[in-house]
Amino acid sequence: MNIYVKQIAIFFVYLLLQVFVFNQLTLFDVATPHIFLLFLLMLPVNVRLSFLMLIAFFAGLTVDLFSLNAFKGMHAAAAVLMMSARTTWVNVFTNRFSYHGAEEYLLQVQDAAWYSKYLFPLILLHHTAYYFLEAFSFENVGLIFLKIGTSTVYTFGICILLTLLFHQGNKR
Amino acid sequence: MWRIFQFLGKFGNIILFLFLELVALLIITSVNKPHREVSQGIFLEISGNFSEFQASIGSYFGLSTENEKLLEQNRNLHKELLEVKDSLRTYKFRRPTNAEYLLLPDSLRQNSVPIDSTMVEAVIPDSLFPAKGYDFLPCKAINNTVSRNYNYITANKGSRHGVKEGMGLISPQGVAGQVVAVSQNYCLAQSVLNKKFNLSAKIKGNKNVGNITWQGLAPEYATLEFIPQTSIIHVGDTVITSGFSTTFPPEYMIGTVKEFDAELQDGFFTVKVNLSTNFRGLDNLYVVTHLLKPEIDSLENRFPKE
Repeated sequence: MNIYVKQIAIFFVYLLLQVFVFNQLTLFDVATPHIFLLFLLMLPVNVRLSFLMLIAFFAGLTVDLFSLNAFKGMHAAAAVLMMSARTTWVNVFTNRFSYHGAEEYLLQVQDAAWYSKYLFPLILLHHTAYYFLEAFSFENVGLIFLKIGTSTVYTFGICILLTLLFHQGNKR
Repeated sequence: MWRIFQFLGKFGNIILFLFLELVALLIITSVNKPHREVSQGIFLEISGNFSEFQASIGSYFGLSTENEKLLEQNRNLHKELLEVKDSLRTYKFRRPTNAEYLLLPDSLRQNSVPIDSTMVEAVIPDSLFPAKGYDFLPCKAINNTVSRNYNYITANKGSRHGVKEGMGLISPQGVAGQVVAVSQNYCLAQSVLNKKFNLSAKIKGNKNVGNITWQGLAPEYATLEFIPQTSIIHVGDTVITSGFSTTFPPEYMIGTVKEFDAELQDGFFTVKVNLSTNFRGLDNLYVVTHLLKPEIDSLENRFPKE
């Protein structure tokens, strides 16, 4: 199948899941899982950064549009920020020379520990940007940090589950 | 050309990143109401700072004419003050009964002179006049437009100095506008030259109250409507505030009658008013504070309207 069609299909699955399922699963009015980030984080690593940032922007904007109770535009800003840090972060602890497979499968052959190291800081970065943009002030910093912490753990837990279930595979 | 591509290759990602974040921020601050309010406050503060810098240069060059204007105004005020003092200090009133006479303060009792069997003339001491109830906070216009349909004045006093939304803004020559937004150090006022501006006014010596609006043409003229055709108007009459609101002091200058007509057969004059404030050269302004406004408001709000 064409890689573009496949990725767009994956995006729509994540969009529907995010909007109709996970947006409703807010716990105690503070923690919301933003699992559509997994789509962005699992895009192949050999794509150009400029293209990745454009994808992140429009994906974030689409989720913004369909999230009815949330403010608009914040996912777009936060997702672009996260995407710009992704490539650097992958390179920090992945030895490209010891990896011999095709680069586009780099993200699909790792173990749970690697995924944890990879996903958690990027999700934390996204949530930090997202919740500070939502508050748009530095009053009530305690509540903002509470939201960031709980949502990051929540999103991370579901994302690592989905990764191990669906994205890890194709081992060669 | 090659250099441009080289530059884009080197910094393209950073430029794209900044561009996308800027677009996202613009979306956030224009679509969402709370974010928009915060960003408007910040923009007002920034543009206020910048405009003040510009105005400080401009006002330095205008100092000599401003000085002359102030001197003239000072002279007029002195004259007016003397007239008012003269007219107020000798006051004719009914000859008091014995009981009332005992209640009068000493100074009045000593100074009263009988005129005839029913009237007494007395000099009333200054301390017996209550304060007028208005406070005037001097400020400077740092930005002002006259050519749009909705003109605004930015002045360099804000919530830190006690300015609140809804307060009046006057120039030494006449009414100037009404405050509609306040940040920490600046306030934004709807000018009289704003199609949304609305003010009750009357012609001096005439009790009928009308309405001042601006039709959006010349910055020198406004329109006074709803003055009944039974009242007598002359070209050159003074138009003053009615005093029905706490925004402006009562009987404060607005302008003079330029011309009036009764073309519409609805029983009202349409009066063209020559505004006394020179909106093209605003500089020194005063924010009007009514000291007893909270009391009046709480009294008026005690019963529901309609």
